[in-house]
Amino acid sequence: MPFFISGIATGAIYVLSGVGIVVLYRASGVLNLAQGAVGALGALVAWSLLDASGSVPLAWGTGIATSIVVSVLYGRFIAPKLSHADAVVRAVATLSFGFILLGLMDFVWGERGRRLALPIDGLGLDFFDVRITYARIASFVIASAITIVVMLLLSRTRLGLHMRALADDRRLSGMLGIRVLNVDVWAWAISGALAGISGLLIANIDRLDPQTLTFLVIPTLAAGMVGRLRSLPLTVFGGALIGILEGLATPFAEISAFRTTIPFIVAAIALLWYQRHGIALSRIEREGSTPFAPHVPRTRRRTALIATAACAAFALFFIFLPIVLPSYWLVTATSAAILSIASLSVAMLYSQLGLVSLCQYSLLAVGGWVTLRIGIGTGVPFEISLLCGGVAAAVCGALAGLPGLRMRGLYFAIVTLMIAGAVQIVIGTIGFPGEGLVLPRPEIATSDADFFRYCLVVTVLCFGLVWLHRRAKPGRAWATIRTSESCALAIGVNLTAYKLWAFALGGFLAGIAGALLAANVGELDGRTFPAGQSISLFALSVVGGAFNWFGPLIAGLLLRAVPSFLSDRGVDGNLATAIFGVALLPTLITAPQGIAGQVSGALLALERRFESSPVRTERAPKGTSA
Amino acid sequence: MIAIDALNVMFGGVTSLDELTVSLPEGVTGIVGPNGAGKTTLLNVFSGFVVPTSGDVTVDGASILRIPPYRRAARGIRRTFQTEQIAENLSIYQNVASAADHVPLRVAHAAAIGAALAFVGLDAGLDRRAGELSLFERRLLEIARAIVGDPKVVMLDEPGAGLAESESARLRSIVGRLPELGAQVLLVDHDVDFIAATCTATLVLDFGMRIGYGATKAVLDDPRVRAAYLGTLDGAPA
Repeated sequence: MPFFISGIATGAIYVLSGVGIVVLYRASGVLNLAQGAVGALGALVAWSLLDASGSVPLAWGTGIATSIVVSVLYGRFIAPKLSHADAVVRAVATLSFGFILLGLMDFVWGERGRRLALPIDGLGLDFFDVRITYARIASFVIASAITIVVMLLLSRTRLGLHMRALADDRRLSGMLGIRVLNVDVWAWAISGALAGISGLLIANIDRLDPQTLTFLVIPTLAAGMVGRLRSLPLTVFGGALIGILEGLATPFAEISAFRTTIPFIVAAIALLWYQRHGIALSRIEREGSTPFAPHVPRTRRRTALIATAACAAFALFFIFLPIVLPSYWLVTATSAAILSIASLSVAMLYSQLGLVSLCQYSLLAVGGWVTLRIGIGTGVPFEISLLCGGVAAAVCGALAGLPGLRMRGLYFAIVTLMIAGAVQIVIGTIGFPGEGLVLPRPEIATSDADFFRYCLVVTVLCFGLVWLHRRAKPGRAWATIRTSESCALAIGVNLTAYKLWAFALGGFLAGIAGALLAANVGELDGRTFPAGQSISLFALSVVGGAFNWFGPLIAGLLLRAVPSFLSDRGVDGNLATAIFGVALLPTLITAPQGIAGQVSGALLALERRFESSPVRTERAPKGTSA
Repeated sequence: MIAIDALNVMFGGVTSLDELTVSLPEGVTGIVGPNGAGKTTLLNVFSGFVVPTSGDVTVDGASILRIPPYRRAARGIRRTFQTEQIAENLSIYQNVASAADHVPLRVAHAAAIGAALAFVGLDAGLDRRAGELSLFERRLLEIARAIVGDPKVVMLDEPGAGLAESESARLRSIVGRLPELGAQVLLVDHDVDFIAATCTATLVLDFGMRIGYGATKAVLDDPRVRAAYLGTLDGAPA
């Protein structure tokens, strides 16, 4: 009973936060993954003010105001610039915004846990022999009241009407004379306020640290999924259910440790139920779609040029880098090469099938673990255990891809993100069963220099594997699936087989990357595979350029070399996270094809100029004299 | 020979095809009718995108309804779409290859693709990206994709929509030659001239029911068909 009641209080906060996500998503089409971080910022500001002034109303008011301001600033100035991108990229952009906030918060306030105290904290009342604090009751009352107010706002006011119109069709609403941006700003303000209030309430009844609050977004998302990101009553139901189940699971030691997987389970069951009963998930595919690669006409000369350049670069790296680089940088370069394989797995799924998988890092963990176990357990050569790791991750990748047979776009991304979250929790709870064991490097490459060369060769092989797929039957089948599933079916493509094959290939690459990473540092640490990394991996793959073959290489550098560079320069790790987020946003906004797309475009322009140079040289003197 | 027997399709409470029974022996058969008459639904039953409530469809005596949708292409049931659906980031050649990958071929892969492309008259610049093609070229490419290999039933869903006069004429000649490949053509189009020029027989649907079938000219001149499809002049008796 006490756990039930504490569950209701937590559930009410999930509901509040979930309503914020759904209101914003319906009105503006943005799934705000920074919701938790925005709330955390409000709570931290409130904590500081309370510490300084002691005035509760001032502190709470300022805290909520901060959340609103931050949310509106993003919604007004950054979100509209991304309206051309597809739903997942827009969601990922909010996440990089979340990273900025998280990095700044950790930098300013530190990672130590706090609690936001209230004067009523010590008080409570007895109810069925159970002591309930007023704080929990207050949370429940406040959260429920605000949820009702927001629902009334949506159903009864003119603003609510406009928001519902936007949810139906943004372009049409704009043509009818609704000020879309104004309504957007209101939606961001409401979502900011709800985020702030739920952040404050959670900080009061649970604890206040930026990480915990930022990841409040997971149960919140799950509640939103139960409501299909549309229905507020169902979102309320979902949030309350998750809160209560979490509360009920607390007293049972065996389940308790895994109770943070409850949001995932509830959302998964809800989605399955919707699928079974043929209830369409909201029309999220309507706006924006994954972009296509810019077309570079293929000429024999260009192909030859690229091949030569690639071979020369490979030879250069292979021979000279290990000689030139100091050992710290050599290990970093090795990691960058390995992570470009991981990025390749993400980029392949995104560019070939238009699917966003946010659990590739969990597959890295699978590959690393299986390789380690087999390598140590049987003593077979590294290559064999590496292949086993890859195959195991391929199987897991196909399993994780099963939801992708039925759903696309944002829903698939969220489901995979939840898989990643669940895997992270399981790894954290059972203790990663490889810690303390040392994975020997392959016999032919035990030194750092040799291992770098080894990884470089494996990277090239992996890129070759994907290239072969793209050139052949699977690549063509994937392209037709991307065009439309009915088109693929009509020409005889077995959707299930080809999609699963793509997921398996992605898993295989991720598994290889995980195994090499483990061998690079010698051991496997569960903490190196958090769910957040999978999102960074996707975000940086987009920034690097998922549609160009060298995009994943750039992503690999961004993922490992840039952070190393910053920490080498003595930049605080948390600040580095924030800087990273700051760098990520403009790239997502200005370069939909990523850095590789920019580079390839620039090279093409250069070549055109070069080809038409006779004309240019005639004109040049005139230009300079004028 | 295509035979449709007592075919019913219901979406919720809406009847889209109503006890449709007809045998289609001709090389090129037109399917006409006002919007919502069930033309595209009928094609979708052939493709397996729509599962009929009852009834049967046979091609050369064998029922096709139990074949999984993705295997129907290999059984010779091919189509184009109302809004053309070519894979924009594949080349012309690769688009046809993507279909050739999944159907039985009597000649080599490349030869079959070349033959299909030559048939529709796309034989230059085959490594051009399909995304750069004009609407007409896209339609031709889609037809090439639907005929590579051994087609038995080729369904064309409004292939002539949005084309210029000269393009339409070329399309007519291509459609007229399709039976040479051993395929039966089902042509859905709103352009009555197009239908009259290419189809030997025509099936007219309205509200999911067959309101006419026979030689194209006779069917199109039938006053009942004219009333349903073309509407009646103001004040004139139906």
